[in-house]
Amino acid sequence: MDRTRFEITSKQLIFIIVGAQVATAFLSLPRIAAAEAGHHAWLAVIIGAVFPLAAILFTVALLNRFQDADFVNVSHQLFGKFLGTLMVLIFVVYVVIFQSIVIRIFSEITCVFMLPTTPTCMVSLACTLSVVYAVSKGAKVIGRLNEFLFYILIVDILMIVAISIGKGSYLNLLPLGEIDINGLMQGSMKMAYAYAGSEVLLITYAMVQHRHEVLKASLIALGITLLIYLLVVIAGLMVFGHIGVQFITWPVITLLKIPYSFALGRLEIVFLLLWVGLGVKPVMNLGMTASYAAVRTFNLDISRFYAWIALAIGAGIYVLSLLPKNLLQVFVLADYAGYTFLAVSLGYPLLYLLVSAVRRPRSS
Amino acid sequence: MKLRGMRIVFILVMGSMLCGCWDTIDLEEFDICLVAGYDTPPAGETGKIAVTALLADVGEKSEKIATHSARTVGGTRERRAYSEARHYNLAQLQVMLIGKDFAQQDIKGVIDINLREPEVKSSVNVALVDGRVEELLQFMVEKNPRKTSQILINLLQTLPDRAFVPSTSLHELSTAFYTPGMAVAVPVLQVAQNQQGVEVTGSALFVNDRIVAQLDREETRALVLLSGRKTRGWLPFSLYKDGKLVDEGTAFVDNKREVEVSRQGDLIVFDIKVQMKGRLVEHMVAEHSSTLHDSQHLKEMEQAIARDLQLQMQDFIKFMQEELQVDAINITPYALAKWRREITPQLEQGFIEDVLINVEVNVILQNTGELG
Repeated sequence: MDRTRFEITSKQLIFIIVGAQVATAFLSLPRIAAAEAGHHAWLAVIIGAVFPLAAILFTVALLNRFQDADFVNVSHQLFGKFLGTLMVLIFVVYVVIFQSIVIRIFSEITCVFMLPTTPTCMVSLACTLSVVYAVSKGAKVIGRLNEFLFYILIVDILMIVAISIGKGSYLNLLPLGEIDINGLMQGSMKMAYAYAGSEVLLITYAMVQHRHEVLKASLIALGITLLIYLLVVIAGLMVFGHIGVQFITWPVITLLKIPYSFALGRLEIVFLLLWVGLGVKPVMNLGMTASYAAVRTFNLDISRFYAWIALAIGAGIYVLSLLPKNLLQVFVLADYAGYTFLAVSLGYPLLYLLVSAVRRPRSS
Repeated sequence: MKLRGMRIVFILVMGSMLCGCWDTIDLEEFDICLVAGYDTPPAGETGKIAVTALLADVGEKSEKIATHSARTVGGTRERRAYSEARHYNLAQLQVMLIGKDFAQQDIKGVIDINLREPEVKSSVNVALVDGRVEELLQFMVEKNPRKTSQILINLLQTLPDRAFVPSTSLHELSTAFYTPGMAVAVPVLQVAQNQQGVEVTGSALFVNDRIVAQLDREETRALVLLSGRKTRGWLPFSLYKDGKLVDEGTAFVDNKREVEVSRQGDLIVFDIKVQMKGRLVEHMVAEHSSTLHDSQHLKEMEQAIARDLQLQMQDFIKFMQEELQVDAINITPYALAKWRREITPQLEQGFIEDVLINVEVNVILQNTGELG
C-alpha cells in the first residue's frame, strides 16, 4: 500500500466529515432534542452546532501553524515522543470505545426491524468485518465510499421530508416565542453530542491535497450535517409533536411506518436497506483515522502493517460492542460517549493550541 | 495456497452470518394475519380480551378465523402458540377491529402491543364494530371465504374517497392517547341491513383509551368537515322557496377547512371556514330544464347545501362543547400554536367548552354535468 492511498480531495473531506457525523444518532435525534427543548428542538439543533464549529475552527487554527500537519508529528513536536504517543493512543482508544457503541446501536436496530432472531453479535461481526475491509483500503477508498453513501442518504432524507409534509403539521413547531431557555440549553448540549465525528479532522487534515481548502470544506460539511439534522428534527416534531415524539425510541423509523405505500409496501424497510451502509460510516471513517494514527505513532511500514492494525482496531471495536447487556445500557454509554466527544474534539485542539503558543513549533 | 484457504474461511464465516441462517421461515409455515379483532371474552371464557385473527395461508385459497382469549393480547399469542401449527405473522396486518363492548373498557393494551411490535405498521386502519368482531368476521367469511380481508381493507382505505367518514390509522389513534383534551374518530362497521355484507354506520369517538360517543352518518359528516379531514362524497339537497319544494338533487363535493384563532379578552374565538367544491350530479327541477343554465338558481342550490351543513355543524359543535367536552375537530393545535404555555395546563381541566367556535360554510358547484 502506498502513501497516495491516504491522499484525499477537499470534496472527499466533506463526505468523510458528514459520514462521520450522520449515523445511528440521527434516528433518535427528534426524541432526544424534544425531551429537553420541547417544540423548540429544532433551535437546539442549530445552537448545538456551535460546539463542532468551534472544534473545527480550533483544529484548523492549530494545524495551520504546522508545515507538516500530520497529527502524530504535531503531537510529538509539542509533547515529545512519550507524551505525544500517549496523546495519540488516547485518541485511538476514544475512537475504539465510541465506535463500539455506534456499531452496537446499528446492530440493535438491524435486529429489531429486520433480523429479529439473528444474534446481535453476528450482525455486529458482519458489520465489523465489512468495515475492516473498507478501512484496510485506505483513505481514498473511504472518501469515495462516503461520497456514494451520501447520495443514498439524500434519498432517505427526501423520504422523511415528503412524509413530514404529508402527515405532519407546522402548528407543532409554533409558537416561535415562549422559549424555555433552560430546556433549550440542555437540548443544545445533547444535540452537540450528535455532531460527534468532527474530530476526524484532526487526522484527515494532513491527508487533504490542498490545505487552503480544508476550512471551507469542513464548514460545508458541518452545514450539510446541520441541515440534515434540522430536517429530521422538524419532521419528527411535525408528525408526532414534541410530546408524542418522546414516546418513540427511533422516531425517524416510526415516521416511515405511518404512510400507506401501495408500491413499496413497507417504507421503513426500504429506508433501512438503504441505511445499512450509512449506519456504519462513522466506524469506517474514524476506524481509518485511528488505524492510520496508530501506524504513524509507532512509525510502522504502512504497506505491511496498516491492514493488520485496522483488523486489531476492528477486533477491539467488536469486543467492546458486545459488553452492554441491553439497549438501555447502550443509551447510557452513548451519553457518556457524547461527553468524551466534547472533551476530545474541543479539548485536543485547545490543549495543543495552548502548548504550541507556549512552545513555538520548529517547523512553523 | 494459504491466501486461498483464508478466503474460503472468510467466505464461510460471512456465509454463516447471512440472515437465512437464523431468520428464515418458509412462506408455507406462516399464518399471515390480515385483520385482527379485539373483543371481551365470550361467555364461559376467562381473561379480559379475546383476539380474533383473520388469517391467510398461502397453501389454501380460503381465509380462516381463529379466536383466543387471555388476560392480555400477548397472552392470546401464547395460547395460539400451543394450539396453532404455524407461525403467527403480523407484518401484513392491515385492519384492526375493536368490538363495542371492549371499546367501553380500555384499549390501551391493544395499542401498546401493536405499537411496540416492529412488524406492525402504523398505517393499519382501525374501526369499531357495532357488536362483536368475532361474529362480524364469521359472518363475512361465510359469505366471502376468499375475499373477506380484501373487502375490509378496501372499504376502510378508500372510504374517505366516496363518503364523509374518517379513515383512521393506528398512528392517529395512538396520537390521541398522549394528547390531552383531544378525541379521535374511527369508522363504525356492522352487518349490513340486507345481510349481504358490511356497512359503515358512522363513527365512534375515542378519548384516551375508551369510546365516549357513537355518531350517526350525519354527525360524522359534520365532524369530518369541521376537522378538515380530506374526504369527498355525495350530498343530497332540497331547495325550498316560501316553504315549497322547488328543487332537489345531489352534489359530489370535496372539502377544505381554514381555521383562524383570535382573542376577545379572555375568550378564545375560533373561526372555521369550510369550503366545499364539486359538481352537480343530480337535479330534479320541478319547473323546466332551462334553470340548469340559470346562475341564480345554481347559487340558490349552493346556499341550500351550505345552510343545511352549517346547521348540522353548529349542532355538532354544541354537542361537542356541552356533552363531550373534548376537541373532536382538531382545532386546539391552532390555539396552542399561539399561546402554548398558557393553554397547555388548561387542556386537562377543560378547554374546548370555554371557547367560542364560529363556522361558515361556502359551497361552490363548479359544473352541472354534461346536460347542463
